[in-house]
Amino acid sequence: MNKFIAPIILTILIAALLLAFFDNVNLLPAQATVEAKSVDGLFHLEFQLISMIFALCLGFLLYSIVTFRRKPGEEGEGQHFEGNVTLEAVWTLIPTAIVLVLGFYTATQLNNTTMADDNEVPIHVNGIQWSWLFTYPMYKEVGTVSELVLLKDQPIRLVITSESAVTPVIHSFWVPEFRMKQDAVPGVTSVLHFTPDTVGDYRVVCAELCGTGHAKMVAPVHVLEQTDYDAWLVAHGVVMGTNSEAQTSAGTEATAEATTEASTSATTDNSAAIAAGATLYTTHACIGCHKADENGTQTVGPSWIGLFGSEVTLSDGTTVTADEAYLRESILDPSAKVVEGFPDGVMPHTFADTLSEEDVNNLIAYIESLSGN
Amino acid sequence: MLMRLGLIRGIIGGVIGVLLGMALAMIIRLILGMELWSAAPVSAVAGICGTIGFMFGVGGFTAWLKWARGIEVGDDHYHPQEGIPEWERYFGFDLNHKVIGIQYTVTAILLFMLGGTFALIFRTELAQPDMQFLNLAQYNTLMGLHGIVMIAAILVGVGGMANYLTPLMIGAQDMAFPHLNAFAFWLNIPGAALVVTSLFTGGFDTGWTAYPPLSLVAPLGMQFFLLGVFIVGLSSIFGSINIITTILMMRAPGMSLFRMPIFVWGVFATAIISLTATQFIGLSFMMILLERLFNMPFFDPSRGGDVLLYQHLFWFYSHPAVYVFVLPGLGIISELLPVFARKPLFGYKWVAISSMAIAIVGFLVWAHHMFTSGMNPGLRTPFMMTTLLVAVPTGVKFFSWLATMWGGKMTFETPMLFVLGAFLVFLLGGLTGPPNALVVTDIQLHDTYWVVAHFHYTMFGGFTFAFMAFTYYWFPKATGRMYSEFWGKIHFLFMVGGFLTLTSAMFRLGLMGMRRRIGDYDPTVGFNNWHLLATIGGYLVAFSVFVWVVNLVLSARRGTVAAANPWRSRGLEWQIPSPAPEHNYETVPQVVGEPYDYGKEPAEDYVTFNPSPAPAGD
Repeated sequence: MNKFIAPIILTILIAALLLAFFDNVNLLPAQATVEAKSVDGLFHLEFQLISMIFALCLGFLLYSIVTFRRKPGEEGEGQHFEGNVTLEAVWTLIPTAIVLVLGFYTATQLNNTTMADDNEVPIHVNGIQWSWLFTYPMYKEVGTVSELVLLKDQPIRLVITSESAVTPVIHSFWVPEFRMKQDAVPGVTSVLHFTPDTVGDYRVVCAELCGTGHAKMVAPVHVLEQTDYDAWLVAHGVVMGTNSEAQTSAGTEATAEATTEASTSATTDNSAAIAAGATLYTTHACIGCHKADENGTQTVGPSWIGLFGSEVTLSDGTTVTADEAYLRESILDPSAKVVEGFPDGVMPHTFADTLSEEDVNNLIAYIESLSGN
Repeated sequence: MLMRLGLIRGIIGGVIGVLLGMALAMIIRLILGMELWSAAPVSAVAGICGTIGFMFGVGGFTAWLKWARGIEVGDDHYHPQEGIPEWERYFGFDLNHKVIGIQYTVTAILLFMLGGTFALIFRTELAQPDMQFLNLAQYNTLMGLHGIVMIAAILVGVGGMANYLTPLMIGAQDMAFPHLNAFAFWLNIPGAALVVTSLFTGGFDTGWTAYPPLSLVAPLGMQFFLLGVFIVGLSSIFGSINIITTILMMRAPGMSLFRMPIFVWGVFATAIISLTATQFIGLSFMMILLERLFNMPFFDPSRGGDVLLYQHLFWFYSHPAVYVFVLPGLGIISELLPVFARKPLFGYKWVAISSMAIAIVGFLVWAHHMFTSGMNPGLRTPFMMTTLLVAVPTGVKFFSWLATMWGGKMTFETPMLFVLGAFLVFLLGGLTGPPNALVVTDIQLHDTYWVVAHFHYTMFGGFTFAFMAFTYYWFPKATGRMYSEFWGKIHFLFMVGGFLTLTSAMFRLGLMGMRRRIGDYDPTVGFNNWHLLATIGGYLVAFSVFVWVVNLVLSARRGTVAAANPWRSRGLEWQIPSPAPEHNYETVPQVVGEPYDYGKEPAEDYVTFNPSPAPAGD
């Protein structure tokens, strides 16, 4: 038996090193949900098991390479033995037992981390090419927003799907710090249950390849304390402490964040057109590529902030003024004039069929309102 | 002279086929009163007709059509022709399995270099955040092409190993169906050409998985990708029919199933999967083509279709396919370890049966790719359990390999180094699998670089390292010359170093939250240095592949002349001269012993070439 002592010591040494590594180095992102703790517990168990099995194989492999190599001048063949049924049975049955136990344990953990909570609050998530849109059924005044704002310690039920007037494709909702991922599938409604428990700013990214702008499909997530959360709701038109239904006025269902800003800066006779354009901006998925936030974020397509009336450099090097005629042409025939630095062929050529003359006018009015003149 | 080459005639036939196909499609459109030109349908018909034209031109149908008309078919394709240089055989429709095996192997290496070049291009782009020289659409196309070209390279490489070795190892003169064998090989050429055409027809932004609805609206390149993969799949089905028949019907007298070389078991298990599962990827790709071309709403939920149906069909092939990729490679490891350790393979029957077990369990695990897909959540636990069971037969292989080395007298020539490299890399690939199998942690890891690293470990360990060992170990058998041992070891060092650098960085990135398939990443999350490291690793791998190819090419011409059996192997193929004679075995070999009885006292033969039957009782 003593010939097994050296490789076993080697195995234990390697295992100890690896276990110490995984005990002391955190390889995962921060934890921001209650569920993340259970998930990371399982990760740790997996890393420990991997360390031990890897050490066993590597220990014996290294020992064999050193000990059972042909020394210079040595003749002859290796020892002749063809197998050992007991050994084969042992290394068939023990791994079977390990994986079955691991499987059952994980099944119970899965049950714990995907359980619904009685107090959970629904939030609807829609993935479009290439943005995340969130609606709060409990606060209709908020409308559709492109950031996910959550209350700390409030259990959440995310209702996730992929609906788009343009091209509904599969996306996948993933916040690494939440340890939660769920595909947004056209025709399927999926649900995620979790409780955020750490205040902070995170990002929801799309984890399922969804086309050209996949890499850019990122939206901010904020987990807030009660006071900040209430302030956010108020800023989005929710009147605290009254019946929110009473506050709902016609057309606010899909009113984007930008609408409020836009309508204040626009003349009154134009405000209906601007509001209608703002609605179309979301429903026809313009928001997917053309951002209208104050920072003027450029993603897959040019930002609409300050676009109207500006000088635009095209891919052929010429410049053009972004007037009404240019915008109309770019909506209806996107390939006619392509802005420098942005790929051609990404924007659908279908808007001539899906938008009416009035829709296009409303959209242009909305774009004009974002230029603040 | 050029017109003598089947490849040239095939290309001409292909061009004629494309033109006829375009004409055919436009005539049909004219008759139906449609606009004459529409890129998608016209190019689809052109692609199919071009493939048929290529197969006509290369000579794939010649003998079959003669048989159909009752004309005697000579065996012109069987012998090297008088006055025609030997190298020309490799560019034409040759029936000898060794020629076809080398055709497959060289094609696989070329496809590898192509797929690797795609990877290097986008790996360079990923070295730093922001887009430097690609745009996001180009990144998506290159990333998808890298995936599918590598898959084709692996399938073709498996074909190379299986076709070259199987008849030699079982004592047969050739494969059961030599015409079908050559036909299956040549199908890969138009198949690969169609896939690469996608690069010039708008690309495709779906990755190799081609999930609808994205693949339904993807550019025209998507269609060429789907057609090309369909044709490569057809080749795979034809090849596997041939392999199964050859193994079952053409073994030398005395070679019972449990006296077959262990590699043949791996190939047998692989062929069973290819024969029964490839149809599913063909079917799923055809459904996408039909929805694109004829608006049949298989995957459109607004018209009664189902998006997830595709994923089930796709993975029903594409998961077993990974065992198609690795089982022959694991067979190479089991085959070479006894030779270099000078010991019997430990637990031969267990290792043989474990290949079959992996093949069978492999059919029951497909939905583990869909844990976050929105399928019925209740399916997740059963698919997790079946997936975990794959670990058991895989573990049997590893422990048997360790026991095979135990007590041996190992030497470390280049093929053995690659076998040990394959052992290490596949071990890490296997051990990083369970975190993906276990649903709770897979939800976090799915679609991240962790998964990318994991499957690169399994593919490199289960296929690439083993395939490289194959090219070195059987190099003297194929060429009659030895490769350069020095450059072989240089290749190994850069390969292992480069690969571990590349993939360790990928594992780290995946755990940090790096999504797969993104052409650009946030510079503020801490990914930057790891991506730079991965890119450096990628270039090291590329350099090692360059060393490999140069070594093989130069050694084939100038290497020292090899002995008939440089490895002192007991295998049948090493008992005949190198390079192997045209018809393999002059006299029918008689198998009278065990394949791996190294070190047995008194020594016993595995095979005799005595024309009279061997005396009973060994």
